[in-house]
This record gives sequence, C-alpha cells and structure tokens, in this order.
Amino acid sequence: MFDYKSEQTEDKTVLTINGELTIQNAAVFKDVLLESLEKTGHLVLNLENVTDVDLSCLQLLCSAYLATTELNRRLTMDGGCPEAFRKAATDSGYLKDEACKPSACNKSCLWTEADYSRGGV
Amino acid sequence: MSTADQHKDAYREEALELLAELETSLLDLEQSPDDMELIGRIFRALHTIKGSGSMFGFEDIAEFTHEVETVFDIVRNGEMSVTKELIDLTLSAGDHVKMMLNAAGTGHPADPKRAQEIIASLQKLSPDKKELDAARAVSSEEDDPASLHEGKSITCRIRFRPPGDIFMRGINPLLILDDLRGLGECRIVAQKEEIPVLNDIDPEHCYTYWDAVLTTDQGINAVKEVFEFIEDGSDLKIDIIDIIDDKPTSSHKKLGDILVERGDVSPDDLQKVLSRQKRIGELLVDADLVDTGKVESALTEQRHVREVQEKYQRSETVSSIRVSSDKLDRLVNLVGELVTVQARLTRTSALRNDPELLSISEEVERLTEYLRDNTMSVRMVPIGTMFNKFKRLVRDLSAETGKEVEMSTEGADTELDKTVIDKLNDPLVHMIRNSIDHGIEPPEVREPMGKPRAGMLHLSARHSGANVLIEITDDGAGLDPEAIRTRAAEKGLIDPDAELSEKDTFALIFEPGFSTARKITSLSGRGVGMDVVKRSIEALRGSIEISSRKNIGTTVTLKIPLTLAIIDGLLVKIAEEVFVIPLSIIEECVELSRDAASKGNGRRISNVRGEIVPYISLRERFMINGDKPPIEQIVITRIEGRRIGLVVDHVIGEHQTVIKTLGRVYKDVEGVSGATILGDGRVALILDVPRLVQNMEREVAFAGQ
Repeated sequence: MFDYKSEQTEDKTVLTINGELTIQNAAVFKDVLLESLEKTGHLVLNLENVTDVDLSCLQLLCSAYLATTELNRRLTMDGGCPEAFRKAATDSGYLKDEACKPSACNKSCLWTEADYSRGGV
Repeated sequence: MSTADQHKDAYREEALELLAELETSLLDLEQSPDDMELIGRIFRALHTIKGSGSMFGFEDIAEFTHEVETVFDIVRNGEMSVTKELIDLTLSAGDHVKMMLNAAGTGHPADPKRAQEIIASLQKLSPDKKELDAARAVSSEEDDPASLHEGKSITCRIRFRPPGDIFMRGINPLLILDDLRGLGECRIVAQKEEIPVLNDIDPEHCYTYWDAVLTTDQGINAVKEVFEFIEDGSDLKIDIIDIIDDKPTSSHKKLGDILVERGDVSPDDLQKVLSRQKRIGELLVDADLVDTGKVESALTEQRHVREVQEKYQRSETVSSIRVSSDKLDRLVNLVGELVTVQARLTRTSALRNDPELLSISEEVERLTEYLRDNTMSVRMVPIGTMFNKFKRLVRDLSAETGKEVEMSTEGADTELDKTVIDKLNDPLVHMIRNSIDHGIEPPEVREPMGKPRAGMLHLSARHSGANVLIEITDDGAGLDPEAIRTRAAEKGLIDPDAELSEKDTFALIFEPGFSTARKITSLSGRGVGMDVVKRSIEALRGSIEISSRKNIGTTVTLKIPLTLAIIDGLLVKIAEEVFVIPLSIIEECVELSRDAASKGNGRRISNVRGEIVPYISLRERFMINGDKPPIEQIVITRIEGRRIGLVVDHVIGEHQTVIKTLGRVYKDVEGVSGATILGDGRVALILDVPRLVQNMEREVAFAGQ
C-alpha cells in the first residue's frame, strides 16, 4: 500500500506519505517529490505513517535533498520518525554517526544522527 | 633473577603447557586421525615451541621441533596420513623436548643421539626426501597465507559496489549487508556521491556502494561467501588489514595512510596537504582530493580497528593473567590472616555492644567472606587437566602390558583446589596402574568370558557438598575377597578365623605390606602402594572406598575436600578448651543428659529418635579435667556412611576456619588434623574425626580380644 497527501500552505508544502516506500512505489515516489519541489520553496516531508522503507527510496530522498540544495530550496522532515525509516537508514549505512563526521563536513545533512533526531535538515 | 632468566622461565612454563596440549591433541588424533582441527592444533603447538624457543635462546629445541613441525606440515597438507607410528614418534619427540627443557642450563644436555633417532624415524615416515625438502621450504607459517589466519580474527576492508540493476534482479542489498554484520563486528558506510539529482535519477537503479570494515573469526572465505551469489556484475574488493593474534600486528593506521592504501589519494598529494599542518580529513576535503564520504569511511575504519584491538587487548588481559602459584598461596595466607582478624573484630564488637562498631564488623565479615570465596575460586582448576595427563599413562601402560584399554572420562570440568590436584596425582597414577596391571585382563582372557577385547577404564569426578567424588572404575577381574582374606591371614594381618564383611575385607588391601600379586612387575605388586595411597588421601582430609565384584570390575571412590586452606567449621567447647569440627561431616546436634548417659550402662551409645548412635566423649579422649555439665551436647557426624557422635560440653557456633598445620613436633598426633586461631587469639585444634573413630574402634577391638 502506498498513498500520499500534499498540503500547500503559504510558505511550504507538507507531503505526507503513508504505507510502503519500497522499489514497487519508487517511480511514483520520485514523481511526487518532483511535483512537490516544483511547487514550493520549502518541502516538509511527513513520513510518520511509513511502514516499510528500502534502499531505492532512501536514494530518492538523498537525490531530492541534492536537488533542493541545487535549487536553493529547503527540504525538512516533520512528525515522528518511523522505526522502518530509522532501521533502513541504519542498515544501509546511510545514517551517519556524529562522531565520525570530520570537522570539514559540518554542512547539515539528511543523514546525520544529530540533524535527524532534531527532525529536520 | 635477570630479565633473560625470567624470559627463559616464562618460556619453559609456556613450553610445558604447549607440550601437555600437544600430548592431548596427539592422543585425540589417534582416535580421529582425519580431524584437521587437531592436526592444526598440533602444528601450532610445535610452531610456537619452535618460534619462542629460538627467540629465548633454546636453539636446540627450536631446531629439533622444526623437524617435527615439518612432518606435521606435510600431514596438514594432506600429503601424509596419520599413523600409530607417527603418533608414537611425535609423543617421543614431545618427551624429548621436555627432557631438553629440563636439561637446559644444567650443563648436561639431553641425549642428542635420541633426537637424531627420532628425526631419522620421522623422516623415514614422510613421503620422500625430495618432497620433504620441498615441503620444508614452504613450511614456515609466515610463508603460508592459508595458515596465516587459522584460528585468528581478521579485520577486512571491503568495498562493495553492487550491479546497478540489483533491485530489478529482486535482490535487496541491505540483506547482504546484514549477512556481513552477522560475521562479526562490522561498520558500514554508504557511499552516495554517485546519486544524481532528482530529475536525472532512475528510481530503479542502485547508485549506492559501500565501504565496510569487518572483524571476524570466521575466516576470509566466509566473508567472500556473503557476496558469492551477487558477484556477477558487482565490483568487490576485500583486503585483510589486520590479523589479531597474541601481538596486535599494527598500531592504529593514520587516516592518510588508509586513504593512500585504498588508492583514494596519492602519497604526493597527501604529503602536500600534510605540510599545511591542519587536520587531515579537513584538508583533503578542502583540497577536493577526496569527498567527505571517503573520509568518513576511512575514519570509520580507523576507529573500528582501534576499538577491536583495544577490546581484544582488554579481553586478553582479563582472560589470561599468569600468576605464579606462590603468589596465590601468599594471597590465600593473607586472606586467612584477615579471616582471623575479622573473627577478632566480630568478637570485640559483640562484647562492646556498640551498634556502630557492630554494623562495621558485619560489613567487614560480609566482605571477608566474599574475599575468601573469590580467593579460593582463583585457586580452583578443572580436574580435566589431570585426566588428560592420564590418557598418555594409560596408552603407555597398555602397550607395556599388551592389554587393550580404552579410557573414558566424565566431569573433567569439576574444579578442585590446585594444591589438592597436585597432591592427587600420585595416588591416582598408582590406582590406574593397579587397575591395568591387576584388574583389566589381557584380550585373550577377556574374549572367552564374553567381555569386549578392550578393557574399560573410566575416570569420573563430581561435586558432592564440600567434597569432590572421584571414581576410578574398571571392568576387569575385580577383587577376590577369598584371596585377600587368605593373603591377609598369611601376612598376620587378620586372624585366619576372623569373620569380615566385604567392605572390611577390601579395606585390608590398604594395610601396609599387603599385596596379592604373586609376581612383581614394573607397574605394581611390590606391596607398597595402596597403603601409601590411603595415607595420601587421608592427608588431604579425604577418604577412599572400594566396591568390587569378581569378574565384573572394581570401583575406587575418593572423597576429597574442595580446599585445604579454609573450611567452615563448628566451634565446640569442653571445659575451657575449644575445638573445631569440620562442618561438612556434621549432620546434627542433640542433647545428652546425665540420665540418658547413665542408661547406656557404661556403653557409649545414645538413642536418637529411635536410632542407636555410638558416641565418643571428647572430654575423656583428650583427658580434660573438670566436671561435666548436667546436659552435654552430642555432635553427630557421618563417617564412611555411619553416624557417630562426639560429646562436648557446649556448641559455640559456626566458624570460618583457617587451617594451620601443627608443625613437625605434632605430626604424629592422631585425631587432630591442624589448628586455627580464634578471634580472641587462642588456638583451637581441628579434629580429624575419621582418625578419632578409627583409633577408638581399634582400641575397642583390642580391649575385646
């Protein structure tokens, strides 16, 4: 199961995803992200109700983050962190350990534990 | 002692341990000649004896062991099979190394001819001189990458780039990473720099690749196996970066070194940025020579290797501190002193009745008890180490007697005080010799009786309260009570007409000078032995019992106290004298009134809930003057299955008893096994109750004659 809801406010778009963020839905997820980024300067992702995440969708999130920095926009996360997301980020080696971050790399990042725990980028 | 001497001593100690391990492994290998793990263990033992030998100046041992090791290398390579002859020769080689160790420094070297003989025989056994020479050339472990990691933990650096269409193949790469984590301690960093921006990304393509650092004891092949089914189309690089053995091979690699090693940055670029004296990760990223992902991965590897090495060193320290037994003995003595002082403190605080002092004293008592138990446990060693030594003994004895004997053991992990184990060695050797010489019959006798050709010798150990029961069982001829009686009568040990129970009859073999063997062999039959065995066991405050059935077999049971240093005792008082009775033999205490005592009409028996229990009056036994109290106490003990009472004036209570020997002057005093110092500084004698009972019985029997 995969569905999403997009809510546009004055200064941001909140994209709420429900269900499985897996390879079967990767193509749709990409389109939804593209569409949302085109509409807003600040995309807020709510993944609270995501039940499963795989690598293909982690790559898409990473790619979306790159796009926002290139387009000088913002991508942040809102709501609670679903266990499925945390597990996929940890298992894939995407989630960084703050301690291993060299001081040169003090840019905020979607995948640092500290940023992630704060719920935003 | 100079440092060199200390090293030599340490080598000697280590080599003796390795030789014991070698012997055990060889005997096991004889049973399962195809066991590659055993062959590997033998090879490693030989290799270490050789390697450390040459390091600490035992060149002769190193040279000799090298020859044996070479042969085992051929065996390990599957070019030679394990035969009885090979086992025999390697056992002899082990014995010879032991002799060389003992001879070192004495000025009388071990017989070099014997060494040559062993080597010549071993070389004869090996396939071909030329092949052997060739094998020698590659025998050193350092040159053999396959053996390099045998039994050791390795740390690997892995770069895994899966095929781009991995998702479409229906494979979840995260499961592969999970498998990798299952092999050991693993850190994985995803490299994401190839992920394009959203417009360009193919959502079904895998752009991620991984750097992993894994420490595993499963071997390099297990690591490769994880990627086996995805190898096609993947880009995989696995490098071993550390091997964890006794000596960590490298210090922690610097970040720059790791990046250079990986080919992620050239040494020149590294040198350039290093000269700027900034943090290397920062510099490399600033210089755009490497991206943050690579730096992060290299830092992860650095941290991983450091942590694994630190952890390993920590666990090594915890698991293998070598302490001389002298130091342990001193520690036990000090704990003994502490227990004594603590008893004084307890007593003083009780007398002063000061609540604060009482509370401190209770705390000290509790801690002392923990300290005592912990110190005692440090001295405990599994009896299996001794059992293993007997395997060789049984093998040699069966060869000597032409009998076939299969030895089995049970409860090898039962622990006993090291001193007790050391003192048990000789008696057990004696009894095993007896079993094989007198008990187990030759195959040609056994077979017509329907017994298996090979005799069975079973050694078992198990805990029983504060004691350990050790049993030596054989399925041999068993004891012949009639022959024992006749022999005892001939020797004048018993009256020819005396009626003896089976147990008493068997007990006769412990009498000095008793032997039913008609001929003297190198093993037994000299008539010295079982009495010495009994005395040794009793010196350990233990007891010995025999049960046997003719033609079925014999079981000798030894009951040995767990420790000889500190026991729980019961303090009793007669007039002003205080004695300690070991708590382990006490069953209960009952009162003995003057009325009840007089009902015995001079016989020292008491009726305890309908059961007649004989008793010994310690007041009379130790000729203590003074009046008995109106109500005395009987401390009922169990000795060799019988209940026997000891009559005392008062029972004071439990006491942690630090056993002190009485010294040479009192060594012949019977009925007393030692002494202890009480809280008030007085000395209390520890009663040897079995001996008291024996003496009493002897006197009664003598009086009745």
